[in-house]
Amino acid sequence: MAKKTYDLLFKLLLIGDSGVGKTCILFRFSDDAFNTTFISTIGIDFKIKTIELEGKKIKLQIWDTAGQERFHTITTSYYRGAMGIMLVYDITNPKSFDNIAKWLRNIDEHANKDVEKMILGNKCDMEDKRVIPKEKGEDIAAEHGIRFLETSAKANINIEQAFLELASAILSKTPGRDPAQQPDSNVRINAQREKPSQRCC
Amino acid sequence: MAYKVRLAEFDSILQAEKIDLSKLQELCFAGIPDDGGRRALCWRLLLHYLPLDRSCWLQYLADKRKQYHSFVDDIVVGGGMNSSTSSSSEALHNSRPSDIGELETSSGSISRHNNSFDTPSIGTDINTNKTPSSLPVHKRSFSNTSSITNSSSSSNSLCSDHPLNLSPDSQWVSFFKDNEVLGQIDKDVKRLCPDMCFFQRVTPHPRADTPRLCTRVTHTPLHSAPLHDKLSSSYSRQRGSGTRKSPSPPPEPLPPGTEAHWEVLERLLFIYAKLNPGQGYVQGMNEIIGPLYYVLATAPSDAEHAEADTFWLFTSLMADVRDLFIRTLDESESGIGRLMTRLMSCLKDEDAATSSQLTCQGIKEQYFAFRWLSLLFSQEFPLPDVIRMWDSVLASPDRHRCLLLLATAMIVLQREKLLSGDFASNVKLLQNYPPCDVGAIISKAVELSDRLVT
Repeated sequence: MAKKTYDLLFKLLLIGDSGVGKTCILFRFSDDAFNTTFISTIGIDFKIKTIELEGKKIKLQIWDTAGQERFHTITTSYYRGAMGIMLVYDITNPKSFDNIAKWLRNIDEHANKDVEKMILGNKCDMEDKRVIPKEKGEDIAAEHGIRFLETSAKANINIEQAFLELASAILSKTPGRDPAQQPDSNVRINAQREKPSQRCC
Repeated sequence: MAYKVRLAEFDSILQAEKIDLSKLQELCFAGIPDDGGRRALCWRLLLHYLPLDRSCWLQYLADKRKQYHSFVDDIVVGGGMNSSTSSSSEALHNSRPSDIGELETSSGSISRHNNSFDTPSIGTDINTNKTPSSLPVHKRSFSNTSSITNSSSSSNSLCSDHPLNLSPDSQWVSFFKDNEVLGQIDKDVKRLCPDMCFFQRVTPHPRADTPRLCTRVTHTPLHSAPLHDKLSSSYSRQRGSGTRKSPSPPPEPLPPGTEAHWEVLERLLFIYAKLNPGQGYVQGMNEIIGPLYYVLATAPSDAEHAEADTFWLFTSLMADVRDLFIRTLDESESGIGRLMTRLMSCLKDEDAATSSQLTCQGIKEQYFAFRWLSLLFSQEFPLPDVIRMWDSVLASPDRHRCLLLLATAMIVLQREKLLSGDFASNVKLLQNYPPCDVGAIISKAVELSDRLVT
């Protein structure tokens, strides 16, 4: 049998309005670089990154989706297989924040019931253009019992943190990840109910 | 030598009184020479913009260009805003005479007097029974939040319409809806072909009399405390939308009367969206209009008409591919879903091993072919290669079949890698097609065309 280069495979999905920075977040995480000159994502894009968590090699298969309504029939078909979903808004764009409810409904309709969710308020380096206070992001996340972080792909704030948190949330409810800790993980199955992250940027 | 012969072949066709379209298509399929603006001329002919009879060209072009500019007057100048706030009251009730029709801003439709107008339309696009708006048409004069307030206070006494009017007939409602469309277009045209600086450059042929559309989508945060005065005033001077990252380096405000090429594209796409409300603007249209405009705007002749002519070329090309952009048609005979299914069946007929490899690995056609086909490969290759590929696509009488053959060829040419690759490397390969000679793809497609039933 071929040698396995990883222990677990997690499928993640990035969703959110057009132009909030989904592709930049993914590029920062996968290539540790920032590029302002991305073309718009049409349909769906894909990256792989292997991380290590609790001594396990975890291969993250991350799907980056197009934000515009037109692409929803294409992109919603990916929700089903996703184990974690990152919902991104732009702290300088009120509309992208208002649409969180709509994106959450999409998740409810199309994703597995136990999918791990996380809300990211991106572009938090642009303090002078901020229109969505951090508290509003925290509130809506708490209301739905979802993790929350403010991020900046440009200034590399909380990007890795976000992926690691989401991955460990998935890991914590992955059966058989570590026999010794198994009972524990069952207790923590509602980890997403924890207080939203207070990390500031 | 062979090149000179080719040039002569092109010239003999292009200089004839009556253009032989099928001969021209045959020649163009093999690639149009870059020299002397031949490509711009050939694309105008291949997209059925220019009539085949040379003697009609001058009058026809003059009419079409005039028609386009009257769209600009009605939709951008008349239906938009004016950059100065001081002229707001004098501009009120300034209904603009129009030689082509009346604009009904509330429904975003135009009733046209010109029967020859052939914008493709579907469903709600069809302009049938629009009556001109009974509301006085007035120029709205603002460029940011504060001037909206000014404008509304001055118009309240004169006109029943106002920015908070929720009536569907309100011109303000449509104005704000338009701004949403514009916001999307603005994001996309600014990030078109970022690997080359052409679209960021200043055009030598601006429409200096039109208001800057991008200023309509500038978000000005409504800070309540005077503390932020400095911040917000320095921000409001910036051009462009605050909702997106600015290209690097951030564009400097251009002097009045000048515009960048991307601003021309923004205007073109906005007008197209307004004239085709059932379709509107869909992401990716920027990638279709980009190469058309580039070819016309960089041609040695008629570059001053690049904007108007691009509008008609784009309209004509979209007539062929617009169904790929309409979500509700995804599974219809002409939609993207069906086209992708046809692609996979072509692949199965041509190369069963590669086809079954993709199927076994769970690599769905949506992962790569959605973008390939709907954008006519424009995001897969550098612009010069895209343009070469489009010579063939535009020269094909059946463009959908041409797209299928090219896409099949692209997969087949990577079969060795695909057969040995795993899921991740294969998806990556197809989503980031390796640099290659597009001539080889076209040759392969020609080879396939003899034996594949698409």
